[in-house]
Amino acid sequence: MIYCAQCGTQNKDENKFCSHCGARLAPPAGLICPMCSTPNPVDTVFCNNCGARVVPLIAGVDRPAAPPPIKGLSLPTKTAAPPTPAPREDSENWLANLRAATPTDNEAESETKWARDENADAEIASDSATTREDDPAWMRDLRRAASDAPADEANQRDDFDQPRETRARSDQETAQAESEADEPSWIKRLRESAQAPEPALDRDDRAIKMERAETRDDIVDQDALPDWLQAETPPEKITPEPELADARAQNIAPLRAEETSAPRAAEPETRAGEMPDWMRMAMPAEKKDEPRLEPIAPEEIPSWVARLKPTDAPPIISGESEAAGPLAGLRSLLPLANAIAQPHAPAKPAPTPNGKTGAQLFQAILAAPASTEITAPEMKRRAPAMQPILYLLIALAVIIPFFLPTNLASSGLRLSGTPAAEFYDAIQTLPANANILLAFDYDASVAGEMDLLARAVTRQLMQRRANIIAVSTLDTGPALAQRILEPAARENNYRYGANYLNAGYLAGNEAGLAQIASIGLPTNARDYLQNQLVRQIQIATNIKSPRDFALVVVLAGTDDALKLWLEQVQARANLRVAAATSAGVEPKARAYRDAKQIVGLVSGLIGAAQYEVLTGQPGQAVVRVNAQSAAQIVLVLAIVIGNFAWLISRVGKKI
Amino acid sequence: MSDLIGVWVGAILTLLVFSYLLGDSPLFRIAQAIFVGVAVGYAVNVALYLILLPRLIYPLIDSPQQNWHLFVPLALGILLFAKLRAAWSPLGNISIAFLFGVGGALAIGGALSGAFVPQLNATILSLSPAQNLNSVISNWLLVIGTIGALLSFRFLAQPQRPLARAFETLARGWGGLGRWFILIAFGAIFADTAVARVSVLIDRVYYLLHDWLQIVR
Repeated sequence: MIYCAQCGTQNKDENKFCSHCGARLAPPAGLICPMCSTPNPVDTVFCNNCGARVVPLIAGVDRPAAPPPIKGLSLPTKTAAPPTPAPREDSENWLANLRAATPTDNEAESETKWARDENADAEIASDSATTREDDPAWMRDLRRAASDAPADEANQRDDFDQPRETRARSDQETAQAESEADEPSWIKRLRESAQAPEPALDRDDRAIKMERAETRDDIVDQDALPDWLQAETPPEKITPEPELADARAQNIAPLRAEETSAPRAAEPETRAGEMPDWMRMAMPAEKKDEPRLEPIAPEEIPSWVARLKPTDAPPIISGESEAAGPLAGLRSLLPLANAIAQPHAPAKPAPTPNGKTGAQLFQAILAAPASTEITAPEMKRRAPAMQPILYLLIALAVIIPFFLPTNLASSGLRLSGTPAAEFYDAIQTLPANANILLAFDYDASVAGEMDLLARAVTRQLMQRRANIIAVSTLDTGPALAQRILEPAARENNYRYGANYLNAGYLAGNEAGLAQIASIGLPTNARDYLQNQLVRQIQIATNIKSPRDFALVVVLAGTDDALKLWLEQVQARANLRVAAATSAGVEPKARAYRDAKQIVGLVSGLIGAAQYEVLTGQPGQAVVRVNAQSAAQIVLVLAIVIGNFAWLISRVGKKI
Repeated sequence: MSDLIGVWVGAILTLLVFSYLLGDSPLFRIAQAIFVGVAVGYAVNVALYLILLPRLIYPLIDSPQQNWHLFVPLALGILLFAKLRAAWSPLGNISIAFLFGVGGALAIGGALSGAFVPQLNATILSLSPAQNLNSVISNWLLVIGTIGALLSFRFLAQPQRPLARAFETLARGWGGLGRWFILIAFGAIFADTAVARVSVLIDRVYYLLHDWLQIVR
């Protein structure tokens, strides 16, 4: 995981640019191979991927032995001296002087790479006093900042802070300074443009520009260079950010001498000069057959090209010395890498113009004195509260009928052709000793209504001498069932276990009901009173399948309970089902009755009263019909009067 | 004596609930807390003494070889406790998946065979005038109302072709009629719910007057 140095966003290891802000991401902590860009552990000397050296060679610091040369893969040692390039006639004097001051290619080739590095380090160490005078400004700033370090570290840091390419180049500048006066006009223009301050770009523009501009050729007009310089000047990679460039230079700069000392092909796009020998040998055969041009020594790069390197950002030189490893004793080698390796807090976004405007407006609002006081809106005058009046009317309608000497409503109950009559007929047609499954699927919230229905139905079933097995899919159902069954059993001389049974709570909802539809009664069900296995009780021994039930009577307090029984039991076992429901369930239960899924339907207090009259035993339901009728009349009058008053008020507003 | 105490407790709790007519009060809150607590305690008691112990634990203790199949629901039940810890929560998904899978399969199958198909068949009615007048009117109303209710949920832009425009006009008019059928059906359900609640109110008033005060017969 790489943290963006710009915004702190976490990015994947393989990301080169931040997924949030687009900034170029620093490589992960470790040593980046300059050849193949593979990250290596800190203690790595040679790249794990390509074998290139990733640790700088520093004078005075112990370093591991050079790898043994591999025959056929090592750098060329003493080879036949190629012809010294004759000075061109069209080249200027300063370039001729530059060539004279640099060693020839033969001399460079005569040394091994490792020996060349040793010599370069020794020369730089001895001539540091003279070369410092000719260093570029950015390098002098770097050295000035490093002068605060202890003296014993100074030499090492100086040796390392100066890229070898730059150190070698600084030797040239003595001779090159004299030739600057003879520079052609196009080079002067280039220098002026390079020294001119770069137009300010925001980070996004710079990132896009760096992404698109792969080589220096995109910025420097290649046509402005002479042909020979275009051919010899390799495309140089643009450093995206000054900070990142410095961080990358710490990994790459020590290897520049190795890179530049390797033979380099003439074509910039092949970059053969940056490849190790083994990679060049691995190239296709036609590439090998091509005539190889003589490599260009790094000293041949003019100083004015080196000055094009951006020097605006101050170098990062702070940091602690490396305590161990090949970089022991060196300081400020990987300051940025260390900083990036730690999680960053997301940087605060820069205030946008709109945000600034909004902040100023908000500040102005806060500063401005309150012009008007906020006053609470006047409360609209409401009509006198009708709720207490309605409560009082309903209470009177419910209480007064209980004190009337005669039952006015019960005489008007219609019985024939009603769903209650169908329900009654369904039970009356049952054979003697028929097995009835009685489901008490209602809870205490509707018990005041459902108990009346349950009592009436149970009484009729016991009068018919039916074997009653009561179950419930609600945990409170068995207790309510026992409250109904026990008094009715006493009245009708019913014996528990022989004539009726409270099979208790049927767990599992759909699964429990599906079990009834498949095997009649659950095998592990236990009764409510004695906690015995239902299958072992006398009345249940003759129940082998659901077909043994002549009728299923569902006392449903909710439509879901009735739906469950119809979907899981009636539809699967094709049993006859009769439903006694709360008044609120009746509209939905009627759909099942119309579809002939239930053979009878009785609902509500009115249905209970009808059923009591049908059974010839008027009870509490008939007594309460008066109160029910009176309360319904009050409700209807309240609705009609309320709507009429609303209509009148609306007409009055229009007028 | 116990009946007398039960009647008094019931009457007092009924009055505490009725105190809500005067506004939310601690009396109502006390009654509410008592009902919720009793309901939860009763549910736990039922689950423990009517389900877990007699149907699962005792059979496993008495004869585990004979009731080895009960280890499956026991394991599924124990896995549900993994839901208490976030790191172990995925283990509880096995039990949840079993419960939802079985329940969903049963519910869908039952809905198709027990509600959808029978109700669809119930709307295929004869519109022949040869029947008695009540059946003819009822069937016509049912068919017109069912199709109108379905068309009321049809929302389309006004088409350009004349034939399609005429059909769209007819569908919109029929859908508007179906919307009235829906409103009437909702009104009937609400009215029946109000009647059911009045019945419960009457039961409570009768309880106070008959069982507690004993001033009515």
